[in-house]
Amino acid sequence: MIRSASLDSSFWNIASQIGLTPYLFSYFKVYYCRAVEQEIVTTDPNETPLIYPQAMLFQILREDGRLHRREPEKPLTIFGVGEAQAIALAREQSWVLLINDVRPLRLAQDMGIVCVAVPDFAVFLYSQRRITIAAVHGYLRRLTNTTSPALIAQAEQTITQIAQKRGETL
Amino acid sequence: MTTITKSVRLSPEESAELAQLSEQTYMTESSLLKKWVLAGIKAQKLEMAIQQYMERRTDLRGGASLAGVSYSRFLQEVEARNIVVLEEDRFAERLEGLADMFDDADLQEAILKLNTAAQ
Repeated sequence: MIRSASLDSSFWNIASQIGLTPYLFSYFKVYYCRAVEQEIVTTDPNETPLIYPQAMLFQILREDGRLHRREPEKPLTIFGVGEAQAIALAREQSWVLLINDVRPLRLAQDMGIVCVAVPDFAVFLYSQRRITIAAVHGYLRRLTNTTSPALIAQAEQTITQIAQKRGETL
Repeated sequence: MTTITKSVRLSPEESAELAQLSEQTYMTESSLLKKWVLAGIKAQKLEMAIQQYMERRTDLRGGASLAGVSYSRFLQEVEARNIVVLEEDRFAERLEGLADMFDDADLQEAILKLNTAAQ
């Protein structure tokens, strides 16, 4: 079953960097707001015509019809424009929020929004047998510079539990 | 464009060094000073934004805005400094949400075991 999800720039950038984004579409119909799009595709004026790989991927998948535009009716103004819009859209539509930035993530969870961060999704893909145990460890390794060691440890423990049940080893 | 003059006091040694660099780079001393001041302002704004992000006084978006750079560039700077953008709190809760949403029995069982072990 495919669920609808509101995309935040933080999730897209980090998931794209480690190569997880193509898997998203097996589980989610991904919606983005204009502000989020602007953040993903915009580079600094002095960096033009540089295009970040995550921006290129976003443009291609948008043109391919994999990404859908939708604006919230009442944007939140607590954080910056993009984040607030992604949270507002998820809240209004009762959709999942794809996000990977601690402060707005906490806010969204406090608001009762179902959130998914990048390491969560990596563990889930392994559990769904979409990626191997070696691959999930590889994805988590690539997240170590921006993810708390305690979260990585919890993710590894979850993988170990699933692997033991399946009789798998790395 | 209107410009404002700012003066800087330098020691004779510093002044001589500036003159030497000016000669070597074929740039006037004032052009060099302006270039360094602008670069310094940019770097200082970025460091202040990074500091605020580390202290969780802003998010990635706010940090980018404070630093005056794009979202992607700010994230790149955060990553280059190995600054954590995701903490461990409520990780199990989010995984549980995913497991329930997609009826993932293996994941539900693993979380249950972890939660039991943690208690």
